[in-house]
Amino acid sequence: MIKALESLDRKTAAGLLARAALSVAYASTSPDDKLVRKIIEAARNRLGLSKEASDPESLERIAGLLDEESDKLLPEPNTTSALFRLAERGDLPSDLYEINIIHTVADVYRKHFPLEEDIIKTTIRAPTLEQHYGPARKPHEPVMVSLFLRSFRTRWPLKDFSVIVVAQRNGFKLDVHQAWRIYPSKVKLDGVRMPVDWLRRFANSYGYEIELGGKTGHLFLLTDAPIPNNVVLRQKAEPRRVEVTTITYLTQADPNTKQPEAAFVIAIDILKYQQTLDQFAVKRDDILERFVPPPQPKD
Amino acid sequence: MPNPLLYSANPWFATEIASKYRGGDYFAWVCEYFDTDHAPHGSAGTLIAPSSNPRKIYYDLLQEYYAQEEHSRIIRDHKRTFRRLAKKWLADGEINDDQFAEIVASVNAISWRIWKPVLYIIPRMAIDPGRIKEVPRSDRAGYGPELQIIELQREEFDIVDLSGLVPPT
Repeated sequence: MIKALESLDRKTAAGLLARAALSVAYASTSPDDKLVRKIIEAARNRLGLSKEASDPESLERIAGLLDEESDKLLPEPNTTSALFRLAERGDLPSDLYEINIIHTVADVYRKHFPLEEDIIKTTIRAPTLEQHYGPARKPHEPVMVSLFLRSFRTRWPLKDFSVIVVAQRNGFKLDVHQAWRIYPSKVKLDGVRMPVDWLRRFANSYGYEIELGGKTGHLFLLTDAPIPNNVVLRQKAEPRRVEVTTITYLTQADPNTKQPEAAFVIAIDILKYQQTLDQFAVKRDDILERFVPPPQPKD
Repeated sequence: MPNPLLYSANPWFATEIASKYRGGDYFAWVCEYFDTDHAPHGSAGTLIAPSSNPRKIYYDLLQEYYAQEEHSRIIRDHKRTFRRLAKKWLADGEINDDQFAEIVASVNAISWRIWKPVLYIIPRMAIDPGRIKEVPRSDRAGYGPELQIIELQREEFDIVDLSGLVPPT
């Protein structure tokens, strides 16, 4: 170890070495701290570099030596459990999740699903906005759910759209349960801030009002009971119109009672939604955004 | 008259660090011009080194992010900086062992997303002049002025993603 640090505890010494390395990396010739200056001088001596040597290569060698020394002083951090904690909190960089899109999402997009799959994965890997729920901090809140939002530009500004994705986290896996395109001309978006606001507005435009547990609404963030088989839809009678409705929700267990409950319950008029997709008819070549591939693991 | 806006190009990870591990205190190395190549003739902005030009920093990082360039010098330098900062904060008691491991794990992971650049646009009027520090000449790459703002708060600036305007080359 560098002599000037011998009397210090390992963490403090590592911190000073890191400060010295930062100082060298930013080519700061005169760090304020006397001890930091001593450390840099000791590193120069060990590498056989003169005081005047300030070319980028010399500075890199000094900073590299200081990094090595500080690494020796600190225990190896447990990065696997650190990544798991990040995943659990929803703080993991989203391009690291393994994405699984459940079949009901694919069913909505039919033959267009391959394009939608790329759009959904790009939304997750490089979102404009994201929002994460859980692990449960307070009751009556969805847990382990992530919402991602991203806008996509097209060759025709009137066809630009945003995508909202609702996914459930399970370790490093992300199960996509909902993915909806939102065209600003079809959904009232004034005042939206968080992704959940976008989902609510989408549900107001394309969702049926549903009745659950004596309450009615277009979107239920959480119900305190499992979804019954016969959900009551409150809708205007349109006898000559064929209705195709999909009720989607995520299941989770109440953190205290362990009873099953449902989150993000929404009943979408699929035909109405598909009509919007057909009306805009955005093709792969129309989209100006670059689809984001998964990070490639190093060999 | 000083320019009303200040600019700082940073990787997205810097915003994550500030919001999740630094209690919402952002650090910004700022410049009075977004693009020093287009600073008015005769102004000090023309003397700012290209390596401190926010537009250049932003666009260079963006291209390496797009390319998923494993040998990117810029990303490698950012990784080293964040590892060093994490060690310093750990030693100073500003983060705990778990948080240190989380920062190191994120930096070492194969995520590209965290290196996507973002641009801070900071209205100068909103910042107490005492918090805007001039970087000493010895720490600058050129004669032109460079500034630092310490403990910048999220409500004091805008974070802008310009990637939609810049196609990959």
